Order: sequence, then C-alpha cells, then structure tokens
Amino acid sequence: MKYRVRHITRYRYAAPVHGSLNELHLKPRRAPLQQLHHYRLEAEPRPRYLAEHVDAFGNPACVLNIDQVHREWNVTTVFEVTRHAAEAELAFEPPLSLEAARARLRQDVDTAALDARGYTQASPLLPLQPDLLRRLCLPEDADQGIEAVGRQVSRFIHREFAYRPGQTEVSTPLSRVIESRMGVCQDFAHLAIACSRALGIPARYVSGYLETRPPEGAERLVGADATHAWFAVYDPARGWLEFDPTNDAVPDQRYITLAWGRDYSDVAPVRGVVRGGGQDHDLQVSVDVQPIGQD
Amino acid sequence: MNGMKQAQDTAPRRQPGSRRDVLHDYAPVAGNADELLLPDGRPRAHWLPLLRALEAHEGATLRGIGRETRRLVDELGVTYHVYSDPAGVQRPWPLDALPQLLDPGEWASIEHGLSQRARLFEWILRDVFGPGELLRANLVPPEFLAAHAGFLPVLKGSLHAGLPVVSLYAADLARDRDGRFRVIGDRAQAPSGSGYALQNREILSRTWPATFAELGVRDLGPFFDGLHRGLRDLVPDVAEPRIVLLSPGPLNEAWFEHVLLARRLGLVLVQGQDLVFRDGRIWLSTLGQLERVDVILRRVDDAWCDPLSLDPDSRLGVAGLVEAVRHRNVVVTNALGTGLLESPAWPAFLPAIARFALGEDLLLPSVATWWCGDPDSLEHVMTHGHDLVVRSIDRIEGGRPLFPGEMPGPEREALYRQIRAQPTRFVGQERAGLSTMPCLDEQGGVEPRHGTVRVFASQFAGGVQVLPGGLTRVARRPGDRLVSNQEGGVSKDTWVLPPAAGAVAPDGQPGVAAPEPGVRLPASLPRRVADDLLWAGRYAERAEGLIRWFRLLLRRLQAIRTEGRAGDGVTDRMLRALTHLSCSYPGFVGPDSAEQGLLHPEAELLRLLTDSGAPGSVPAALAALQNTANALLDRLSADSVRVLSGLRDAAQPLAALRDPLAAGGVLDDVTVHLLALSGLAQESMLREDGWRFMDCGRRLERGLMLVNLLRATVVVPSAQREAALLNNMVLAFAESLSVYRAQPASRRDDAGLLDLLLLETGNPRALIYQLDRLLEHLERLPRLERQPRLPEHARHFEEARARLRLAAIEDWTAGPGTMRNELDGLLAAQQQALDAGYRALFAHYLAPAPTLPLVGRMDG
Repeated sequence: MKYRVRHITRYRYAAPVHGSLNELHLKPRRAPLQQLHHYRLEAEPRPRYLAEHVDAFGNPACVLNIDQVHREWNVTTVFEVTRHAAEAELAFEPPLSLEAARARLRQDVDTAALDARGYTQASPLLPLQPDLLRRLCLPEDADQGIEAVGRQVSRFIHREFAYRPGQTEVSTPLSRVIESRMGVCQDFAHLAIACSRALGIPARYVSGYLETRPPEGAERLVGADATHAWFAVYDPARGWLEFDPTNDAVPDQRYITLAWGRDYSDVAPVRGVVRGGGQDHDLQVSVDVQPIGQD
Repeated sequence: MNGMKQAQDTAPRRQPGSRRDVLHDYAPVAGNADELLLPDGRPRAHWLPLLRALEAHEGATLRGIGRETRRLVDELGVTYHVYSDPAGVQRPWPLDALPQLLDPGEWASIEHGLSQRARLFEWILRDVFGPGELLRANLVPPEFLAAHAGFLPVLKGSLHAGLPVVSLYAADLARDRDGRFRVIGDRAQAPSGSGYALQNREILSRTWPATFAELGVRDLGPFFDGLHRGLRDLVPDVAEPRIVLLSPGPLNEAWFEHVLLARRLGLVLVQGQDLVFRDGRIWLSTLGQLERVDVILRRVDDAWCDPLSLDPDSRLGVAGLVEAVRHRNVVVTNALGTGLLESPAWPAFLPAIARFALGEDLLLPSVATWWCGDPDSLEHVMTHGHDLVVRSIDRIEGGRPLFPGEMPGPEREALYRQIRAQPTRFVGQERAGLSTMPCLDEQGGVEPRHGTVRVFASQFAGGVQVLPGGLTRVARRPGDRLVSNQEGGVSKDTWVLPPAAGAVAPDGQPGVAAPEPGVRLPASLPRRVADDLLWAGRYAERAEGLIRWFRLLLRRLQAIRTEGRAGDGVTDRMLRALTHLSCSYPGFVGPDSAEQGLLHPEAELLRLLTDSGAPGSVPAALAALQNTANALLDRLSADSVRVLSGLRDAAQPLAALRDPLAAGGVLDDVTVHLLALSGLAQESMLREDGWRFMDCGRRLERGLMLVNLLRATVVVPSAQREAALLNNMVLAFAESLSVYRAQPASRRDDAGLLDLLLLETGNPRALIYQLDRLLEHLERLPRLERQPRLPEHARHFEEARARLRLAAIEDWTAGPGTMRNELDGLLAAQQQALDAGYRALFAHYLAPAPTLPLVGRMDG
C-alpha cells in the first residue's frame, strides 16, 4: 500500500520565545517492507540552522535552531511511503522455548543478536522490573516461544487497560499507568517492553503511523489520525517481531514505521529547549495518513 | 611491624630529636603495608633523607612545620567545597605537612602501567562507539554496556579520528598487603586533583626547601606545559584557538582547582551559561559579541553537558553541544561519553581486552572484580560476598561502595535479592589493602593513616605523558579506611624521586623553555562575569553602608544607656531607618511589635548582627559578597584574595555575639577590610569594562541606600533639637558631617543638608555623584546596537539626574510640620529610576533568558 502522510506539530507559548533548539525524529527510517519516496520538512518561523544526522539506532534525526523571537512555531513533514505486506513464512520450525531462546541469545555474537542483546536492559524511561509479571498476574509459561509471549502480552494489555487520551503524560511513570489501568499507545508499548524485558527478552519501542480505517460508509476524517507507537521483541531464530498492544494486532501494511529505540526517549518526534516562553506551552499535533494506491 | 614498637618500648630513650623519638609512636597496622617502614620495621631507603630532616627537628618544630603548611594554605586561599555543608562555605584545603614518597624504580612501573591504561581506555571507547570488535570477540558483553547509565547512544558518531578521546586520565592506586600497587578506580571523563597536586607542591616545596632540593624531587611543571600544548594542537589549523575550561561553577567541590588550572593553562574559565550554540558552533557570550570557541576542556559530567541531547534538567551544560561536536565544529575533551570508562566493572574485562587490543599484558593490575551479569561471577559474589565490596556498575546512582560483610543479616539478604534481580547492574570486588603512610598529628608527632595515590596521564597525538607526582589522600584519622575529601580526608603532596643521584632529570632541560604557542583570550567580558562584578560592587557597598549605620546606632544606644531610654525620638528614628536601610521588614516598622521592639531593640539588633540566614543582616551581606567574590576567583588579584580572607576572619566573631552593643569593635575591624577592598578596586584595577560594571554596582547601591535613609529620616519632620541630631547622624553616615559644619550657619539646615547629599557634584557620597558616574560608565561600555538613541538603561539614569537638578528643594523643606510630600516623591522617583535602570542594564548586557525543556507526545 502507498500512502501520503502529512504530520503537523504546532507549539504555542504563553510568552515570547527568544530562540529555540530542537531535535526531531520525524523522517521515516529504513525498515523492512517499507520504502520512502518523497520527504519534505517545513518549519515556521524558518530555522536559522538545520542539519540532519543518523542516530545510534539508525533513525534519521535533525537538529534545528530558530533564533528569532516567536510565540508560535510549527513544523510540517510531508512524505510518500510504500508499505508492503509481509510474506507468509513457509519454512516452519517449532519455536524455541523461552529458556532455549535466552540461552542461545547469550551465545550469539552476530551483528543482529549483539544489537538485540542490549535491549534486554533498563532504558532511560523503563527501569528493569523482574517481578512485573507477577505483579500483573500474568502467567509465565517457560515452554512457550518468544512470539507467543509477545502476542500474550499484547492481548493482555488490550484486555486489561483502557485507552484514554489525556490521562497520562510523557513523564507519567509506568507504575501509575499500571495502577490506573489506562493510558495511550506510548504507555502500552512501554508496558509491553517492560514485561518482555522482565522475561529476559530483547524488546524495543517503535514509533510510527497507522492508517485508521473509517467506519463502513463514513468519510475518512482528515487529521483525525495520530502518531502511533508499538513494540517489537527479538527471537534469535526469527529476528524482530512486532506487536501492537493498543489494538491487539500484529502490524501489517497499515503500519508505517518512523523510528525505533529503547523507549520513547530515544525517538521523541520533537524535543528541545527554548529561551523564554513562560511557564506553559500548548502543543497540537495533527497527522493525516492517506492511502494513494496499491503500490 | 609490631616488632618495631616492642623494640622501642624496651630500648633506652634517645635524645629528643632523634628519629626514634620522632617515630616513637609510629606503629603501622599489622598485616598491612606501610609506605615508610618495611615489614621488618626498618625504614625504606628512599625515605632516609626525609627522616634525616625529621631527625634534625624536635617535636615542637614539626608542629611548627604543620602550622606553616596551614598558614600557606590560608595565604594562597586554597579551598574546596563540602556539599553537605548547608552554609555552602569554602573550606581550607586540608594538606598534611609530610609528603608521600615514591622511589624511582617503582615509579617507572607505575608510569608504564598508567600510560598503557590510558591507551587502552582510548581504544575501548573508540571501539564501543565504532567497529564493535570487543562485542564480536565476546570480550565485552552488550548487556553490560546497555545496563550502564553512562552508556549514551546519542553520542554515537561524536568521536572523530585524530582527536583524542581520553586526553586526561587518572587512576587511584592503593598498595595492597603484598606491597604491590593496584588500581582501585579509573577516572576518564574529567579527573580532578591534578590542580590540587600542583598547589600542594607549591606549598610543600616551601615547607621543606632544603630536603626538597636535596632529593631532587621531579618537577610537575613540564606536564602542564605539555597539557597546554596538547590542547592547543587539537585545532592545528586555527592560529590562536580559543580554549575554555567548562566548570559547573563556584558551588562545585573543586571550583578552586578549576580556577587554578585555568590560570596555569592560560584558558578562559567559563560556565555553561557563558556559552551558546549558533550556526552549529559554540560561542562565548560576551558584552561585545559572540566569540567562537574552538576547544572545551570540560569539568562537567557527560549527562550534564547538553540539555538538548542529554539530561534535559541540566543547568550546567550548553544546549546544542552534542550537535556541535557531532559535526566537529568544536572539540570537547575528554570526549563526551568517557563516563562509561569509569565503571568498576571494566577490571573484570581489562586483562583480556589488553591482550586483544594492544597485544600486551595488563601492566598495572586492578583489584579482582566480578561482573554479576556473568552467571559464574554472580555465584562467586553470592557465596563470597562477605569478603567483597559490592558496587553498582555506574557511579550515577548510589555510587557508594557496599560491604555485605558488615551489614546486618536482613539488609544483606535484601542486597543479594537486588543483585539477583538485576545482576548486570552490579560488581563484586576484592577489598584492597590500603597502605598506611606517615602523617603529622595535632601534637607534632607522626602517625600512620591509610591512604591512596591518584596519578595522572595526558594523552594527545604525540603520545602519553605521565605527571611525575600525584594527589595522595589519607583518611581523617588512624584506623579509618575511608579516603574522601567529602568525609574529612586530608591530602598530601606526592614526591617522585629521580632515578639516581646526579642523574639528569628526565623532565627536559630546565631554563630552555620553548616559546609557547598562543591561546586567544576573550576580546570582551563574558556576560556572567560582568553580572558577578556588578553584584560584587553592590554587596561590598551594601555591607559597608549597613555597618556604617550600625556603628552610629550602637554608639547612640551606648550613649543613652546611662541617660535612660524613654521618649528618645532620635534613637527610634534611627532604629526604623535601620529596618528601611536593610530591608529587613517588619523589624522596627511593623504595625504590632514595633513599639515593643523600639523599647527593647536588642533581640532584633542581635539577629541582624549574627544571623547569616536573615535577609538584610550584616553577615548575610558579607556572605553574599564572599560568594560573589568566590565566583570571580579567577579574576581576583592575590591581594584581593588576602583581603577577602582577612575580611572573613574579621567577621567571624559576629556569629558568637551575645550583646549587640559589644559589636562595635568587630564592626570597626570589618569596616577596615571593606575599605581596603574598595581601595584596591579604586587603585589597583585597570579601568576596563569589568571595573566599570563593578563600580556601577557600587554607585547603584550607594544611591539606593542614601535615598532609603533620607526617606526614613530627613523627610519625616521632627522637633528641632531631634532633627538636628538626626541630621548629624545622616551626615555622618554619608561622611559629610565635617563639610557641613564648615558651611556658614545659614546653610546649616535641611536644605543645606540636601544640597550636600543630593546635588553637590563634588561630594563622592552625593546622589548626583552616583548618577554622574553611572552615566559616565555607560557611555564607555560597548554599544550593542549602532543607534543614536540612548539605550533604555541610560535613559532612566539620565532622567533621574535631570529631575534631581531641576528639583526646588528649598520650597519643600521650608515649612516644618508638613510631611514634605514633594521631597518624598522626588526621592521615591529616584529610587524607582535606579531600580528600573538596573533592570534595563541587566536585560541589555547581562541576562540570557532561562531555558526550558520542551516535550512532545505520542497520542495513538
């Protein structure tokens, strides 16, 4: 499926800002089954400085600096991307048990495994919580494989947690999400990652977009779509496997990958510092994911 | 070792001054190595010359040497900061009068081992952020890197070929029970202590001049010259690079060392707020312009260096620094990310890494270390924990070592559970023996204390250079094994002895100094420095004025103490004026307690004289002055440091004061030092921007205090006799009493007083004089905009001066009994103009707006 995506981020400040410096993760990365065609970024006011680089996880990132006084700034990205459907896996082997997978992981020194092994540890927003599954009353079945764990965690979160925008913030710790049993995609992805890591399974955070299907017969709403987040676990026999706990789904050609990292802090779409701006700012994000063809 | 003591006990006493006598009570701990004595109790050969020098002295003289050492520390103003001290004072640097000695043979092996470790850590970080050979060779587990909070993926791509990663490296050495030195800690991101080592040397070489010369102790100077050259050559294509030393600021424990190193290396001492990111580069923000920075020698830890890419809560760094480094637009050294190298887990991997990376065996061993992420090592730590030290792999959270063997059972079990739950986060380490070394005790005797030696290496394109010396630190008292400045430890100079008597020192030919390549200093004043200078001026003037009024008041109270207190309007007025002058409301002007307070002012006066925490108090003003001066330490002359140190001592007795009326002598003493300070400012400072800012501060404060005082005294009408007395007090405060008295009688009235204190341009205490000076300074400060219009701050002062000149003062003071509203209005307007002028000046020259982190959010 081919899509045209428009992503607008708008900040409004209570007081004049004398300058700002931002780091963006808004350009889709290279990912399996995904091709980027055109990409454009526009910022208003126009940045005095803008430079791209590729971060440690292979995501494109960019730093930009606005040096004029402003009370509002917005950044818009527009791109076209093709997302292919995964082919069915034909050669079918019985899955490795969790124990076998962990043992193999400790030995593996190929590039993919070495990279993956780092994702078993704590990350800036997610301390390790070895007793997490017990606290959640999630049964731990040592005989099942990694894929089954990912699916089970995903289903569990979807069943037990309510999707409630506005109830949590970036800084809300996981313990509060667990307590209140509600959150948004970011919280659910974090929770799933924490559960996987508690079992010694490498898990990473994936940010991106999702084409949300309108109800039957209704017009597709422009701008109603949002940035999305899900997670992936690493199976030493099969590589990274993705799951979306918010929708209890396995990401397919409706999912467009933006970036991945250890948790949200590695791939925040926008972070930055401003001079001035008062105590508060207002943030509005609108995303439009429009299908434009089969390929 | 005990044999020594027994032998002494049975041996007949020798004459005082013999070595036996000096070391009479020197009894090292059994089974532990000692720096001075061999296990059989005989002194080590390289200590003999120093022992001979000790023999030549009696106990009393040793005590004298201790005193002399302390005096030199005071005179040079060497300080450090104890974080736990709520008063935030800089403490005198604790330095033992006896040096630590290292013999040449042992030093050679330390030198080689240290140099190898510096190369090794350089190699490791390049590999971790680059090719990843260590991971593929299974020599470093990826779980260890990922678990370390100092492993910062955002820094990938910020190391560049040709630029050193670890340009300054330090290792803490401890001599184990077997007599061998082992590394108990690696410092690879911003090692501190080399500056203090240099300072210790300056002092001890003066304490022991003859012995120092006789031994031919190796010189520390060439190392710092090499460091300077190395930093300079980091940017070979820049003719005169601008190199800054980035410090966390005056509250950091090692601020004094930052000042010292900046001076020794000829660098500009800056804090994060002095630097800005623009166009991909880093600039020094000065009054005149932005000046490009080429090299940053940092003393700020990795995570705090950049609120954009690293810890967003940091106020110590520069937003955009990582971006500038990424594009090689500035050199930061040690490189960002080197904090990872300080993990106590590395020793578990180092021997194999040394063979793999360098093809060499590790020369300088570390203490035996087990990383718990490895299942076998975890089991070892779980079974032998009693005899081990447990540490977290990063120093970031709870870096303190834990001793399971000394813990109560439940606490130990909890720790073990924690380790099993997160094994990758912990290491177990053998408890290294710490040798003892001779230290001077309070009585002038010599006692053994446990200690460690920190040694330093620099590493640039030309290779590794090792400082022939170091910073030795010993515990606070015999038996203690905790060696830390924060815990009251004491430092020692470290003398490395030359290879053989008469051999040519390997430190280069003395006297033939190569011409040093230049380093560029800022063309203009950094904004923060200008602000600090202005406030130094304000605080000095505030303390001076406050104390002057206090002295008049105390004299008055003393005089009436005998006459009885009732109905004395002048004293009441003076007390109220004190509250206004110091802004210590409610004080003597509050609605309720005022009357009571006026009758029994002692408690409030005592508070303002003794309580440094009370806003408006004398000690608060003095403390503010000292803190500001401390932040300017790198710009103060030696004389200023001495005067400030004298001022601190002079003000000391205030805290213990019981009777406010007894404060007179102390206040006189303090005033003398304050006057010395203002004298230095007037007579010894170059008339450049810095001086102008400081003088602006003085003028502002003097003007404000005068206006405040006049509004609390002259403006309010009172009976004639009282008014005359009060006027005299005000005139005495403004040092204008004799001039006033010399005037004809017709001029000796309120109008005459106001002429003298407000309008007389020749009176350095008059308000108009302050405005004249302020405007004169502003005229000469760099103009930021090329406009014919007056900048806002100047407009405020200009307007105040015009209003003052046009004022019809005689009309307002003519009729007694009125509130003289017009006069009060004029003074209030002057006050506002001075305040507004300062705020505009601040906004124009000094203030960078504070930065706030910005956050985004995933909503799906």
